[in-house]
Amino acid sequence: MKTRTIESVSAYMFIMPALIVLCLFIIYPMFLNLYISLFKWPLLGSTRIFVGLKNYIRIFSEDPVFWVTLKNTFYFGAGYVFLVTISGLLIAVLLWDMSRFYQTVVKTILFLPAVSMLVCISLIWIWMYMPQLGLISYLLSLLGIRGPAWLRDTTWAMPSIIFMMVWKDMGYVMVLYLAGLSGIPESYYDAAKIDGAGAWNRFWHITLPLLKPASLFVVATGTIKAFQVFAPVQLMTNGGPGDATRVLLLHIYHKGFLFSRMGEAATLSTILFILIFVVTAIQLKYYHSGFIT
Amino acid sequence: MKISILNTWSSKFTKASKLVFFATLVIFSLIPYLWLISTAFKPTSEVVAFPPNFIPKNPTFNNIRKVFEVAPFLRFFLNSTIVSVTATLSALIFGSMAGYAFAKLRFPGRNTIFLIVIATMMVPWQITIIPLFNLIVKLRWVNSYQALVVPKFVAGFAVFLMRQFIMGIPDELIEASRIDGCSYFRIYLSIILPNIKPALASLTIFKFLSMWNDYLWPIIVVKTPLMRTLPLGVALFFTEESRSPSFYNLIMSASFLALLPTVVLFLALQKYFIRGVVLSGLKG
Repeated sequence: MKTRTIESVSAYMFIMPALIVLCLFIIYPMFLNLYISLFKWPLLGSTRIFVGLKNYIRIFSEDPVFWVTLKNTFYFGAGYVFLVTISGLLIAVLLWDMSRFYQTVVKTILFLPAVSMLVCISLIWIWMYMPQLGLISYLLSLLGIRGPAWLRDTTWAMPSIIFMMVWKDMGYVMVLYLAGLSGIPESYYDAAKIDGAGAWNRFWHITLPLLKPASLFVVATGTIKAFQVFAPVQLMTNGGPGDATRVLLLHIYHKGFLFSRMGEAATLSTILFILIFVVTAIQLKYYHSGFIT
Repeated sequence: MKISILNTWSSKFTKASKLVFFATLVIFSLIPYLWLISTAFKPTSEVVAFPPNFIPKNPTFNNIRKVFEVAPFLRFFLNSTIVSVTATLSALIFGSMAGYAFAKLRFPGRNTIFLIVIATMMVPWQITIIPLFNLIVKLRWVNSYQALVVPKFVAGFAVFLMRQFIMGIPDELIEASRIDGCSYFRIYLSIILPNIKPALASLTIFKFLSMWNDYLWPIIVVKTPLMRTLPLGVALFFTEESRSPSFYNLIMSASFLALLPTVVLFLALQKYFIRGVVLSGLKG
């Protein structure tokens, strides 16, 4: 009896620090966010007016920018996730049967952007995307192509940011797929070969289906990450030109910290949370235990 | 040896065409870094030259020197180091402590509390920036190290990761020490921690990197130049200085200095980095 009590008390002491941090800085803010979203709430000062669901109504019916940011968030998410998944998969499959030496070299170099500071990466690409003097315009001019103004062009700004983010993360996705590939037993291929399955068939009917857990993971985490993109858009275009690259999180940041409308920003946060939660729920539904560990 | 394992359509490509593909890919990945280095060491006259030189004709260290002159760059390094190291240490300690209790100790409410911890993993902190800032204001922590570090002390993910690894430690190992009369704290120190070194290494890399590279949280709570962390320092450098091309050698020098520590660490500890970052991908 007594040892049991000691065990419980010790356990509570062990979890106490983590629990306090989680309660104070994750759980409490989550509820506070819902609370703030019901108010007209300035950044500083204490004149807070209860408005009920007016912020929600306002955002859905009177804020045209909200729908633009929503569209941009999906645009970025879809473009980024699609391209990063395809390129990561392609590279991983091609790299798989290379010698260990090549694998290490390619892995190291392609993974480098994944650990690099996103702020610096964005600054480098701003410089490379610069019209006329930028490296990309120069390289295209060698081919006789006159490129657009990239980040300053309404049509090209978003694809430019997507391209940079795919460049940054394809090595990371490749490593995830390599981990997935290492879990496929060799015997599957031997059997398929005996049955006379061609290379394409083996890819479509063995490799791809068996990589499903890895793909689900890549797509789900990629989508969640994409919905929270911030540094590149803030630095490279600050949402512009016009509202061409204004994504939800940037909208939240501007609403709250630039225009002092914390209530509306909290409302937008709730909407972003619901979007992310849906993706998480789908992932959890189909995801059974890690494919890596 | 591995060739026999997969034999997918990738074997349709000849070795030579694959080498060309990967050479192109490697160059594609490296070009932005090479361009960064090239620009960082160019005098202004060469930065705006067209067509551009890839290798500076008159390489100069002036830009690097100037970075330290126009901004308290060493202070940015110091701030980033303080913030990242503190948050990493606390995540290791609090995460492994809680992980131990959830994995090996019995106490009322264990499953419920653990479920709550798991649930917090589904809430990205980015969606709570508004209430978090409000909380920081109430605590009077705006523009302080506490604001940068304390909310990041530990996340549900760290607890979860530690628990998963600690569950893998055989009970017999712990029971034996229990019989010898060791306290739970003693067991934590002498049995649990030494047995989860790989997990601790992975968490260190993941937590340190995410703290070191984070931009959103510092931009919200930092108000004065001296409190800036590196990402903020480099970014505001860019907005404060003119955005004209002639300043890009300075901006690239600042970026070069900010990237150098993680890149060097990564090249030295490549294997651990990849494992740490991939493992952390389990988050989400």
